[in-house]
Amino acid sequence: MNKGRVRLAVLLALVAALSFVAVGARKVATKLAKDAAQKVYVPPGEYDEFYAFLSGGFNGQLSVVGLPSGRTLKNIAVFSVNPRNGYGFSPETKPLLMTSHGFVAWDDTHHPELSMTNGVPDGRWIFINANNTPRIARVDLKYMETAEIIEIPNSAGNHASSFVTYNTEYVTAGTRFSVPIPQRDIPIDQYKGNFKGTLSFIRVDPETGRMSLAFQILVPGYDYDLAHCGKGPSKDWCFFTSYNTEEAHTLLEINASQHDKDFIAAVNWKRAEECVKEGKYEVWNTPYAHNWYDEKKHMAFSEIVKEEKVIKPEQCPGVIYFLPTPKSPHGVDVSPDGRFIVGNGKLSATMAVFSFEKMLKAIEEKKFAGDAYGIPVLDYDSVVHHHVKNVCLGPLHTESDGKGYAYTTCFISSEIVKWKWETGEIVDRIPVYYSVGHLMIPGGDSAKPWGKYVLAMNKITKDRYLPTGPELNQSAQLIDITGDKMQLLLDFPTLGEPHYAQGIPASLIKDKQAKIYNLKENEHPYATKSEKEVKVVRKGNEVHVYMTAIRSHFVPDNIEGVKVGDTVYFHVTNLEQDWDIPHGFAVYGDDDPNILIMPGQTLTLVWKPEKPGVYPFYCTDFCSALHQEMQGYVRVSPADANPPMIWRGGGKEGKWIVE
Amino acid sequence: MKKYVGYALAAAAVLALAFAAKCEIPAKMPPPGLPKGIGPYAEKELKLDPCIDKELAKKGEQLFEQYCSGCHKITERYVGPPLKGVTLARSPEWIMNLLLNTEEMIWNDPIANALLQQYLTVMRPSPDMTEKDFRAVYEYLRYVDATDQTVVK
Repeated sequence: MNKGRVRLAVLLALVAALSFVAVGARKVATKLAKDAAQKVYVPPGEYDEFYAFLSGGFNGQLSVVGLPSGRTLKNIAVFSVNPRNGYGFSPETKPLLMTSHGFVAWDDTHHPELSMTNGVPDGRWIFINANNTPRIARVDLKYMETAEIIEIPNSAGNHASSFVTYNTEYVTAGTRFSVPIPQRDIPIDQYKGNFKGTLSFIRVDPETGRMSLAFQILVPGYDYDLAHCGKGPSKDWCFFTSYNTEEAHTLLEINASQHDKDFIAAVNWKRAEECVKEGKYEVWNTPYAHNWYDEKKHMAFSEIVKEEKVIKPEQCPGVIYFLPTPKSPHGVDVSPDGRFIVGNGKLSATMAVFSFEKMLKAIEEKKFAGDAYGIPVLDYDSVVHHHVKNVCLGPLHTESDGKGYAYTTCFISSEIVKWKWETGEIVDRIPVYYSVGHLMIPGGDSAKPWGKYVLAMNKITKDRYLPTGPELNQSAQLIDITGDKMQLLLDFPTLGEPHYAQGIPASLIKDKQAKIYNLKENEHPYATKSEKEVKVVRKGNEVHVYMTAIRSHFVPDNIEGVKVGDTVYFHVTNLEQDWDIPHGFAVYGDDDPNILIMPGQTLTLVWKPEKPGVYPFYCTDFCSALHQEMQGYVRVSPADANPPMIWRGGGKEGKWIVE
Repeated sequence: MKKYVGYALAAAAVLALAFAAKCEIPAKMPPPGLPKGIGPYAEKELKLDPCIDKELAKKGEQLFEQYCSGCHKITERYVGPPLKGVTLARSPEWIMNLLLNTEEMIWNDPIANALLQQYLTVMRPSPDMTEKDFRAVYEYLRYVDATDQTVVK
């Protein structure tokens, strides 16, 4: 056995031992400060200090959590259908989940990021990516609902996404899984040189938030893992980590861990804008879906776009440089002042902190160590500011407290390490339970962190809560970072697997929350704005019921004339104009049996009755003392029958309109 | 006794005014001395014109249709009580207080609370409605009581 092998064996044994300690079945006693309970207690009727937005990972949703209490306030369905309110089932919301591959019921959400003004979260929107079928969504923080989804063409494994630039000029997206671009049928072992990645920049309209794909930069076939954009002096740049610079296509665990260094791609998006202006791009025609929700019409629309601008780096010199970074880096994070960039090298116990100033100088002086597919690779020693040595095992992500400190998560050694941005000096460590992935300090990736808490989002839960069979919810831990020593305050389970999260003081968004949809402004084509407008219309085999709901009745609540073979559309308008008086609507035997209609909103439930009979419908949201009475019946007659076409309700009786 | 003379005089004055103004639609006035309820009109007086303001009543009718008719009908019980006669049975101040200060009225005003116990649904006027809008709806209800018509013509 040679020396190198012995060393490797010892290292592996050490890693194995540490992992066992970290995630072993043994219950680890947590030493809690005496005042921890007081620090997280939010008395009844009082509010949390921060909103936190946690990605739901494979549940495709975005959880809204109050901090410091850890209470879940809402789950926003983004890339998933939602049985709670019919999102993704109702014809109004289905178009949001359309892609160039058709309807996708749910996806894997990863990295939410708040819109920013001058590098500070402004509370207007939050963006989040779908990893599997590449898409970026914009959630409107006034309604806390999905407002828009744009698909990313020429991509796969949309993981280095959705990070925003200094003034939300762009949201970024990057390919974790390089693929043949444009897609074509080639043997997988011809990966090298044939597979490519793209780094995409999605323009965000500063007024409306409306997204459009501005340009994509075609890059070598590495795995582009995470990103963050610069701030202050570095605000015109975005940074993307990569691994698998080996361009392996099988057993990546080993084959993509060969190089001592992979790359951080530094992209100058201002330069890219110039190249677009000068026509230095190609127009490609990979189709992608663009979906948006019209809040006046209460309805989503979907269109397929077939044109995108692709920049090839050789046609646009100066748009991209590679910074060599040890080793298979995961997260890339920028200090609040925008001067430093850290690559969290998950297979290296030493983290490289780069100086933006040195990077610019190295570019100017052409201090290149070579190139990769024509992209200049900067000389490592010329760009590194310092190393954070022996940080921990498996450093993944770093956030800032705004007081000069950085906090890095360590997956293998299950801890958070606090160090100084300027010097790399490690000043504190705290164990977390277990195997932490992302962490979040409110505003912790912005120019102005609110450095009061760090939230550790742990991948492994094991024995932290009452067991619930083999499948356990992931676990988050809230840590006080106001003192010299980090202090664990609270454990709470999270829904789905939270990857990244964002936090913002509640005061910045709570007062602009919409409480109702204004009935006057409701432009839904099937809205019924008063009981006088109620009608039932037959158009061939389609039956449109213009229905109203108010405590505690539907109009109509008796419908006769439906026949087997008809498709019935219940367009239900909730006439209430008071906060938190939704009505639900469900009809017996329906495939998609529920919609939840907010005050002033119109939503549609589609029903295809299959057998003659009389079918009840009812309000599914306990709305009033007479909620149980909020019910009705639809009579369904055989296809060849000739039933009377009538309705009753609100003390009236009406005849259908036949068109 | 003095009080009654006062009322008589007031009534005469109103009639005289109505006559003098040659109302197109003379209003029917509520008897004086009705409770005012709790809220912004508890201490102040809502001065009523002896003539119906038809334009205002028309606006009120539209607002009633849009915001109130889901729960209230004029002559029949619905979610809430029928509203015919309400402008004669309650003072204008009480009605405005109910509309502007609903939550406190339904729990703490004896008449409003009795109605809540009878109808068992919490009244929730639209937050979109302004005081002016409520006043218009009140004028519409006054029109209904003055004319026995539910549509302003």
